[in-house]
Amino acid sequence: MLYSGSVVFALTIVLLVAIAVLRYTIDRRERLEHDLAERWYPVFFHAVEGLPFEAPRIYGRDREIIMLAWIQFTESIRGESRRRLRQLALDLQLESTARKLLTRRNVRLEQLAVVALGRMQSVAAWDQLVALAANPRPVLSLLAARSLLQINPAHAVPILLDGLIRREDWPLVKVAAMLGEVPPEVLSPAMMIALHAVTPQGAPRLLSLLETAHLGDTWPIVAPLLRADQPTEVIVAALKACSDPRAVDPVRSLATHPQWIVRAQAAAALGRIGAAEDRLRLQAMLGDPEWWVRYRAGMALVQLPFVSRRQLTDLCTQLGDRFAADMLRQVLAETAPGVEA
Amino acid sequence: MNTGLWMIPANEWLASLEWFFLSYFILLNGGYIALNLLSLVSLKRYIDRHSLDHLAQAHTGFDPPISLLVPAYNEEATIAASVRSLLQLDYPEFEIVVINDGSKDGTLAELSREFALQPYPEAYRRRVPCREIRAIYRSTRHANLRVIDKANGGKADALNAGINASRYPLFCAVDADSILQRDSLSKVVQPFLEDPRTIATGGTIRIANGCQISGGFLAEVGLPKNLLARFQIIEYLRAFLFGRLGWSPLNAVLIVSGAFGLFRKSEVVDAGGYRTDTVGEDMELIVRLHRINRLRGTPYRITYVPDPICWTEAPETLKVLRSQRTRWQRGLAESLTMNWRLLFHPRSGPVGWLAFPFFILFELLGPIVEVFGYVLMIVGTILGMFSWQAFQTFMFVALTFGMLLSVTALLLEEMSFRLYPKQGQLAWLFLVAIAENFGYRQLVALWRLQGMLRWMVGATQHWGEMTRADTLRSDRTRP
Repeated sequence: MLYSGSVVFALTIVLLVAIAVLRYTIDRRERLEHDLAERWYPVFFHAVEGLPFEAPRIYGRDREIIMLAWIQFTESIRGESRRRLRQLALDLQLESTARKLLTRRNVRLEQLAVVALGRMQSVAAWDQLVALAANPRPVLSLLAARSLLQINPAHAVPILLDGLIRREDWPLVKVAAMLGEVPPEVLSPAMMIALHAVTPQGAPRLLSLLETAHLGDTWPIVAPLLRADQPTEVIVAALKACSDPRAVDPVRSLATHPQWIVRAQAAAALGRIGAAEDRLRLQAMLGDPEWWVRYRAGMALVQLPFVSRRQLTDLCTQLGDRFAADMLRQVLAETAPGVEA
Repeated sequence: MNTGLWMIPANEWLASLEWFFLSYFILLNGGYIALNLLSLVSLKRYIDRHSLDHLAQAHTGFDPPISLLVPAYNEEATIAASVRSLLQLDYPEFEIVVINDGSKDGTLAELSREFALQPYPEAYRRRVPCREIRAIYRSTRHANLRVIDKANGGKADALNAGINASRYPLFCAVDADSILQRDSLSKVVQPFLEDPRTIATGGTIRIANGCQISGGFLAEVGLPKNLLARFQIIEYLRAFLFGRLGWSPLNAVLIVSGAFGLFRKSEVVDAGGYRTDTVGEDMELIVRLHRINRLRGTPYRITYVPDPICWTEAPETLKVLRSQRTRWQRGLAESLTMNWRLLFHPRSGPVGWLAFPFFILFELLGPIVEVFGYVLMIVGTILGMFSWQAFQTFMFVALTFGMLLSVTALLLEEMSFRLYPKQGQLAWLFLVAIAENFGYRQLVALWRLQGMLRWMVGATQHWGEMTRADTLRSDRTRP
């Protein structure tokens, strides 16, 4: 027992020493990073401005630190300046360093290299990055997909959309952010192709991106999805994407769907594309047993251009259903003019 | 012929007891060391994966909106500053629902004055039970701020009222006295984005005492002057960096702190909301979510995010600390007993077969064994039943294991977030990690034992009222 206690005590001392060493090592590394950044940022500035410069000599592992500094520097740079920075990276042979790092079994370095190759628009690394975009690790695969987009958007968008449909571990938020950087003339055709080919399972995620894609006429894509026999998630996604007045009839028929989430989205869609005759329909939906359907119906009524606030205020007193009247009162208060958004 | 236990000689009893304590300590510390190793791997993986997170990341409008629920009871002095700081969080879409749980002071008046509240005719829906709602107000300055005024019913009841009023699919329970990082919501929501099965996440809570707070946010990390608060820094490191991180990869996290936790609302509503008959409503909810989903066979994830995203004030007096710890222990006992069906259930997986028994053996019963062990060894040695050498050895092993665990937590902190950058701070934390094993931990064990006893006799306990440190209050009430 005493022996094990002594071992534990010794281990504690070893850990204390390890912490001190770790602190020293990290501090030293941070100082080095700082020094290198101080030395290299003027070089980056000169490169951006197209001025002559003399690059300092790069030693061994400093390359990774310089690569990170280069990535950070390129963050806020666009256009011609970025092209010059890319050229600088190529001149410094950072591209080959990054490609070598891809073969290292170190997650941090692998990610660093993937980002750097994207920023450098390294065509030579395309195949490696395509393979990494299929990697089961979501962070790495998304970084690789983003780099592909930076190298060749037209070829990368289909890869990204395919991943979006197939991979639930690719957050929609992140894919949307990436697609937001793609020019609409590149994104739209690829989206159209993907939407035509998509299965019901993949449709909701893809439809969510319609707004990002700035597509023209999406009605031919959305129309067949606005049917009660489609899976609920598909109908909901289609309703959310629905802004075409031609959709009003299918939307009306979905206002009585057995799933409340469909009814709620149908109400919201009617608020966007509904006609005067939808007032009574939405008024009836104010009495729906589900709170969200009542709320969306109330909001839709406020949105309808054919209905004034005065009419709705009067309606509150006329409604026999207390829940419907309560909801209408809430919606009127929520949308009252003068409340800051 | 009676050859029962009473026939065993006293010295054999003592030897058996000695072995029992020894085995228990080995099991306890072995368990923690195993957790430690798991945490080490998870933390390394997490840090690597997020090594490039500092590069600019744009919000896209696809981030799920979040309802922040802030229960408040007699928070007149700090509530306005807390809400102001919450309003500045960096997240695309969120609402704040403050629930005034029948405060006896001017909490509601303060909110009304600061945020220009007006009565709001909300079509309130009662999806989980809660006490009477007196009124709902909405800020005319901030459309995303509402205040619910309700009859006093405790924190759990207030949160239930907030859940009923919340609009968004995710809700975040926040203590009114918590200080969040500006990017707290962006960090804690990540598991929901990365894995659709996620139903709850919690982040690391750190001690705010001694830190500089400016504009409702943490400006500079510092060490508190108060020794009790310093001990709690190490305690929190242990509790979060390996107590929770270790269980996370096994999907067996049993606690998401009530100070800051994000939940999928539909799951909590389906589970019936927070229970009002326990003082450990935060832990109970998590254990219940595990029980319901495990026993139903539904895939789900409850994840821990190691980033330090929430800062809270630690008690600086023995009286308040004691009250807090007895309440926590009681909450632990209630949470486990209310969900005992999870224990060794064939479908309960690592939660029911590892985490739950671990919590019963070491967290729930730990204080009994620990206090009894210390008392027995001291009394036994004084009475001459144990040799002085046996006593010394026992104490040596118990204390060194404690030190090892505290120092390991410090190592994890140093490997990851390094929140205390100054050499002097690190040296202090070294000392505290060693010193807390000489008296502080034993004292906490004693309080936890008291909490157990209170739970056994069924004594009542309500909202934990806390005396706040002036440093935080003065700054946080600044306009």
